Amino acid sequence: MTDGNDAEKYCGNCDSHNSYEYPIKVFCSTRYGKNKNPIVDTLWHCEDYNKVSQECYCTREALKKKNGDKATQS
Amino acid sequence: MERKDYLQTPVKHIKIDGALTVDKLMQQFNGSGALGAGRLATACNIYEKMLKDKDCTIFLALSGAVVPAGMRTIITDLIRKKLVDIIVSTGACMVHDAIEAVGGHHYQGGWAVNDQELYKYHLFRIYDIFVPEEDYVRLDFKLSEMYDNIAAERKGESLASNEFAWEIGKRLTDENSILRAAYEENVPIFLPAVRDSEFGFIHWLHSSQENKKPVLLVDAFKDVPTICNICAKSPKNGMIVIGGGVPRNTIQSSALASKKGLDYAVVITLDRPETGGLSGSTLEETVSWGKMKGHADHVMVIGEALMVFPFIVASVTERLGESFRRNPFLHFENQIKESKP
Repeated sequence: MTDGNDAEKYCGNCDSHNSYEYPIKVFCSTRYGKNKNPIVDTLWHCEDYNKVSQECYCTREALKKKNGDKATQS
Repeated sequence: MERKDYLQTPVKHIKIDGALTVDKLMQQFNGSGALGAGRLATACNIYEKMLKDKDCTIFLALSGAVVPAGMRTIITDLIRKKLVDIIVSTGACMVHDAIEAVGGHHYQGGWAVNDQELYKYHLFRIYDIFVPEEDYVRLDFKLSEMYDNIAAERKGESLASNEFAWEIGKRLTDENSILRAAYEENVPIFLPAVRDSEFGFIHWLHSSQENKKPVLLVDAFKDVPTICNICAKSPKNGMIVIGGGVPRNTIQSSALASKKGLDYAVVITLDRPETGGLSGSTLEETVSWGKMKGHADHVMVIGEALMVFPFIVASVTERLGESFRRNPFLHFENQIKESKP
């Protein structure tokens, strides 16, 4: 469901996230409330995405880790 | 009092030799009898007296950073060795115990740090201790499952906070956990301010799930007759307080409501009495309410609990010796364990 055209739309930028496995996984309280699996990727997003920045480093660090992993693989 | 009565016991100078154990140092403090050292030695003497008094039920009040700072194992060992009978705790102390029970940690940190940066990294600070948010959140997730399970078993019946504590302890497997040890050893843990902790705030998440039923119900008023009856049934009651606040008040008020008054009291605090708040109030003030007997053995140790309490426990257990076994006056039935093995 991640929209590649809108790189800002990440769970790590959503107001429903808390750290779960920093920085790659977050706990989503909105999904928990809807009885859905609340553990999601920091760089994912869903239809309930609500950007209210927590000014945290989750997205930055998750992107760094993802790019670092890619670099390691290549 | 006559003049000579004020001059009964000279201060003895502390002598340090090469083979000084904790209790030997405490005996030197006792010989000085002055200032903080004298209060600390008195606290040890009072706790020893409580333990040797076959009629005394010992309450331990926990507040502040007991677990994050590293005293979790001390409390667990006291429970397992039957050197305390009842725990009255903030919800937060037991939340921190549960965080470690499900694999989380508290980390050595610092107080002169960039808190805005900690916030951005989802790290929480307790003075110079750090806790990662994910350790809280992992507990939250597990607690929500536990709440579902407990609520289903209870079928709408509410729990007292001490029942809640045993239900959580029953579902933890960490032998070093305070909650687990209390559950196994049938030591009641009262959480009079359970709502004011992660236990309370995760309840919001648990209860706001779509189509959630049944919801876990904890009734704080249910604790009152239980803890008052404990005080009433016990010929003597003693308390050791780490910090103060709601746990201290709960013990003191239970002693008052049961018309017993405390026979022993040790309070470890850095709080001051001038605010009129309970945590710093003197034990003499406690006498005015009838919460402590006028002739009770008592002392307030003005100090930070992490430096004070381990010394008290180490000193007293050393002087009691390995062979010391205590048979508490009261024994508690654990219906939770018996009815739902």
